[in-house]
Amino acid sequence: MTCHTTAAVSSGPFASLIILAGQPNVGKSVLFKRLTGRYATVSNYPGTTVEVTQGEIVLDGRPTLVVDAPGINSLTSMSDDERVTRDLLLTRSPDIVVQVADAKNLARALFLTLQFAEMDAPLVLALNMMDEAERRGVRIDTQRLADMVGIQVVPTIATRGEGVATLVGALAAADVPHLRMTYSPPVEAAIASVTRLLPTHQVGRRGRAVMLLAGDASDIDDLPVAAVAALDEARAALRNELGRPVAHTIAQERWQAVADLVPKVLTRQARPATTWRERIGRWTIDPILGWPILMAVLVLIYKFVGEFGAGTLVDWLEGTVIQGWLLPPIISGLSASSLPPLLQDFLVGEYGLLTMGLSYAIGIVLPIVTTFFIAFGILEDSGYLPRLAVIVNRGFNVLGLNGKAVLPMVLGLGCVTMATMTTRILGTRKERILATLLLALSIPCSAQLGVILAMTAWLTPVGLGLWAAVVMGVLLLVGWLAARVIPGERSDFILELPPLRLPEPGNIALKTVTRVEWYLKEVIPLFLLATVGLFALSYSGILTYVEQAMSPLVQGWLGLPAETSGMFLLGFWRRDYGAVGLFDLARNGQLSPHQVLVSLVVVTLFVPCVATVMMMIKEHGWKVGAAICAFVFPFAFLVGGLVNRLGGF
Amino acid sequence: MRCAMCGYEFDPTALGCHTSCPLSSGCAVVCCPRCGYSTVNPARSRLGEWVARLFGSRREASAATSGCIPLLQLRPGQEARVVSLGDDDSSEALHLSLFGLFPGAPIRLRQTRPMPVVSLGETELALDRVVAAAIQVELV
Repeated sequence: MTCHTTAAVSSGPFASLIILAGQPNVGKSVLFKRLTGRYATVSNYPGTTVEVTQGEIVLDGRPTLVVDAPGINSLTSMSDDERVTRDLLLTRSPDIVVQVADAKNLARALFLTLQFAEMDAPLVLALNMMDEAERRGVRIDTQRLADMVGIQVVPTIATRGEGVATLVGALAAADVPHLRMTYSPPVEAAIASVTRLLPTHQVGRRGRAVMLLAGDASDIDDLPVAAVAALDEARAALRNELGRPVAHTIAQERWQAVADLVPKVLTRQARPATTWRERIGRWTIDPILGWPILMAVLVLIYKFVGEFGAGTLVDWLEGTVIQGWLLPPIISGLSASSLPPLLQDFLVGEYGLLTMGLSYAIGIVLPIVTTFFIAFGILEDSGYLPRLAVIVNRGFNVLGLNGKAVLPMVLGLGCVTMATMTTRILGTRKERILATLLLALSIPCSAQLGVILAMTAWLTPVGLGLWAAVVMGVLLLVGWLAARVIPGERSDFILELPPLRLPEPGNIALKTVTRVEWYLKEVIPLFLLATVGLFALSYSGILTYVEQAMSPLVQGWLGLPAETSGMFLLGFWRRDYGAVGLFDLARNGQLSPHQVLVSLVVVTLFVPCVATVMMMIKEHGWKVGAAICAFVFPFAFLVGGLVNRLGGF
Repeated sequence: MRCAMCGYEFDPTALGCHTSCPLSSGCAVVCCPRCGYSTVNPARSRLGEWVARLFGSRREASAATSGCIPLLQLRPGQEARVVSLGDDDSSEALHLSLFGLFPGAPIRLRQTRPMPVVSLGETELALDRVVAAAIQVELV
């Protein structure tokens, strides 16, 4: 879901470029959709989408490109989002920047406006969510604000489409702001000297000079070596003179300027009594009430994704549509044709591209991820996700993670492959690898969970308890140890809590469609590739060989029947096959409750499936992917064997 | 905090443990540097804090006096002005200042558990306990 490159934004045939920028959670993407008729993937969760979405509008009869830049809190690139937006502004020199802001938080908006003003690009300020501001007793004199900054200021309510037409009209009259923030004399002197180092043809030299002074080390490639040296010197001299980091001083002086501006344009009536929405918002992060709410939300998600998506929908799509209607005519058609048997096998054999790869990716995983995307979209748009992170933060600290990791972990209960991808929302590389490892090791995906629940009939409640204890124990132990072994830092947890909102069904639908499209394009090839690999292994006989080689381990160390080694192998390639195999063995009375427990522990601890391995490699590179596999597989057997020896019941 | 025996005011974080104490480190009991009386430091013990609340003893009533106090010693709902972010030159401090949280800013403590949450005007922030614990405020 990431698109870091500015190369993704190409003006093509467009006459001009408009960039939509602003803080996260200000309704930027909804406004974008209102402007262009297209939708961007919005997110409440920090860092989920460094995505650049573009659309088109016609201004004065000319096609104009509109780019929805990632939400930012400042232009001093601290996060990937901020870097992307800053690069867009610097390298693409937009014709108009539309700053979308939350009207009820004017101070935060102006903090950013001052920075945009330094970029010297024509600016229009859209004060969005005006209705929420008015409900809270905030009145803004937009005309006075417009005069003070020297730009068009348009109040909007993007969710209802109000003010959008006025905004489009204001674009034609967009102006370069005349408001210039004046810093303290030493900062101003340094800005002047750095500005002289920058190429004269560049627009926004002052803005760039401030960024460079604030310690923005990136993007000095176009500067001559002498200029870089002079820049370092100016920066060091200013730091010495101020006695503290320049970035801090600049941020503080900006806030001071904002504090001078706000009272001139904003009046605040008595704040109305606490609304129900605010009250519920408080409950969701309450140390006591927060937990039942969290449980209810998780149960609902599981009911929707785990039972409806992974159960009902999969049964219908996989069982009825694909296995019942689609495949039989294809298989009979192929066997009647004159295609060589090898090719037939490749397409519709035991490990066939269609029978296995495509039916797995479309029949089983697609319904799960679609329902998950819907649930996730609702969570995002409602503003609940960061609150969820607040509630569970403490528990995740033990695992060397913070509350943000709850998302991949919960998603892992649906599909670990998808969850592995979402680890990119975590702040540091250490956290991402840690979360990936824990996902691969001890979070059972819905396919695993389904079989585990089905097999509880032979497992007895004691066995089920033991299984849960072993898996939880492994999660805690490995998490705790790995947090100490894997080098790197845990990111500091500073998370903005947006107010709770009622999600808009239209937005959720469009967002889900965008994400499903992404899944079809990016993840399905992984499944197909895995199937081809399995076919090759099976055809060359390596699969049988590995199965035989595994038997002593399975029979001797795990104390399981020889057939189960085949199930484990198959389970790795296609989760449900292996699980169903185990299920059949248990049903035929070939496994004692103790053996059921051992086999379930091993299946749970295994890397869920080959697509997960592919995703780990895609996200973290070969080395990390291989290291995680090299740890997880032997470890799963080790724990399984220990349970076999010690866990008799 | 204030010693329950002799009333001496002291900073529990600045105290080391007595080597003669059988629980020589890591417990939530602090000894008054003047009289040696052992007092539970409610800020360090969840159970202690809970019991203290149960018996109605307002946590750190002395907090109401003027001067600089840790943010986390405010009562939920109380307003104050930020004095320092601990290390004012750290990257966390810069991160906080982008949200408008810097020395001089008015702040309201919303809650401390399960995580400290503060509000600055219309902005609400959940903070890591380590980050929040370093913030010093003064009552307004």
